[in-house]
Amino acid sequence: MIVADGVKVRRGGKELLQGVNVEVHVGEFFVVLGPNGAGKSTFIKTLTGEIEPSAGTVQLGGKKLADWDPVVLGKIRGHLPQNSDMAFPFSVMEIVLFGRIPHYQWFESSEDMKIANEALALVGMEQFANRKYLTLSGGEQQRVQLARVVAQIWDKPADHKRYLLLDEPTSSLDVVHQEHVLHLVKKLTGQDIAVLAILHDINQACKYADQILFIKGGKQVAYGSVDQTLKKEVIEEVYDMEVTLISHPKREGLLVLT
Amino acid sequence: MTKTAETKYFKHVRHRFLLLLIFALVTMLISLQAIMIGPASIPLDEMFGIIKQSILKFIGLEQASEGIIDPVSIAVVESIRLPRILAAVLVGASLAVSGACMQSMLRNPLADPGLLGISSGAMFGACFYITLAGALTEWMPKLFNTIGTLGLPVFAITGALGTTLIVFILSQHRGNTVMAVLLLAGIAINACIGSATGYLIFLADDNELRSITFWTLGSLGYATWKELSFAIPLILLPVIVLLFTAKDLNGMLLGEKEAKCLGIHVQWVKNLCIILIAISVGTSVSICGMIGFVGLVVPHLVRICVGADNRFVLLGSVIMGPFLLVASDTVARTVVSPAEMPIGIITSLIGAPFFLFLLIKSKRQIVF
Repeated sequence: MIVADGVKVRRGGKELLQGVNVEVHVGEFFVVLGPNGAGKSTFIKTLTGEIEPSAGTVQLGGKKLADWDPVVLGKIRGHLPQNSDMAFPFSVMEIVLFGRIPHYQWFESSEDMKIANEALALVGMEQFANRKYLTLSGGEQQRVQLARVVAQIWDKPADHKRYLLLDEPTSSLDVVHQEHVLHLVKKLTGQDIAVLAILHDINQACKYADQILFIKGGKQVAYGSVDQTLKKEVIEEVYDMEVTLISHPKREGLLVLT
Repeated sequence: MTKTAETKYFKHVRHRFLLLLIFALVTMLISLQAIMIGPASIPLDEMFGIIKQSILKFIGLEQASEGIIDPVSIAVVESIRLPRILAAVLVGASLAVSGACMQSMLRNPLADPGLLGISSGAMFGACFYITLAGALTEWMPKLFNTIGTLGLPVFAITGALGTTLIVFILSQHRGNTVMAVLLLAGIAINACIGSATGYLIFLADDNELRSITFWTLGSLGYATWKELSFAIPLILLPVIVLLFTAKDLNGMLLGEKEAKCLGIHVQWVKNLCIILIAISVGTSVSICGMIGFVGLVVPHLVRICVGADNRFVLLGSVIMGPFLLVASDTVARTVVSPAEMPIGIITSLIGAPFFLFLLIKSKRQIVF
């Protein structure tokens, strides 16, 4: 479980986060929504440890982030950045194997190779294994990076609990692959993995999320299950825009029309 | 499908090791060849005899001369060629592996060890010594007479380490070495030190100018056993330790934050690399002047041959750097013999077209 308790971030006299209190449970798909500049990325950075909160604490698995051994943490917590460009010509396989860095001493074992292959297959990129990463399209690169973080937390630790932090994992993908990736991530939550993702599409969040956090201007506006948070007045407050909510014609749940 | 991709990768790893092994053998052969070539050529059997003797002598096990070897040959190999080639190997390895590390740390293919202010600092130290040696000796005769011929390298290495320290301190922010600031601070400090050096050159007389020019172009001709006795540990140890950062540097190519998420002690690795690079390159520059091109281009040559994985790039640089320098130095001291061409001219002359050839051949692979 990841617990953010009263997390505040101040940078240069500006309050980027004004007290976020959430719990991300193992087995849950937790989605963070909000307009640009709301503090979503800042929040995920406090969870990776990149930003130290100026007030409040972040705990992962009952321990403060700073108390974790970085290598142990590297084996159970993966982070997918918004974009990752490489300066040097690596193959797709090599990039995915970077995810296994916390697991091997000097050289990968064939076990690491197997895991990297399976992770690539999960994102549907296995036929690209020997291609150069830089020759891929933005969306393909994003899927390779997802395979990398999945390979990173592949091994089950003693308590099986693992964590995946995804900063806009679908931003460069077409609709089909967005659905594919979200479906995959949802499936991962079934293996004792807690997933926290920043998304932009409210309807996708509504379809896949277990918990939703709405933030705006660094403030936590709404937090809870889809039913609790997906309300007309909440969405209108967060995005300053009129919306219409209708029920989905084919499945349970709501559709947000703009 | 999976099975083949897996075996293919491991085959690829084996191929790369094999390739590096071949490079290493070629470098060794060329170094031995370099001992035989020169104004006085040395036959193969004599060379081996002399090498055996001088190694024994260097580690302190004096052995009776076997008597059949021409004493002139012994003198040529022992006091001229052997230290010189050893220096070429050490300097080549240190420049190349440092270049590879800098490029990975900065995630910038154009980075080289010179960015840390090492070369400009060493240049300043050397010019300071060349122009002011006379005055300094008068001022503190005891100290400078004990340093003797080591004065130039000592001043050069002090300059190199001093400048690197300033650049390093400037790049610190909240206990973190900010690589972008390091890069810019390096450029600024290089410019400052450059103008100070310019002033010293302005003050220099004709004789001093000649020494300065020669030092700027670089030469392995200064390397004697005396210099090597301090240079060997100061270059070799950092180079060996740098090799062990390869895996961490791989992770850092994803970006420093990602590397941290992979459990890598990024700050520690950065500081370690900067210190080791400063020591080994500073020492290299201090014994043979400024040799350009090697630190920037050898890592790319290696990447074209074995891929971008630092575990192979660093190892390959330690092999290819010496290769380029030994070959260049042999050319430099034979083409216009008995005179000698500055090695900097040759490294670029051999290296650049070879690099261009590989570049054109594999353009598609490198660019996209």
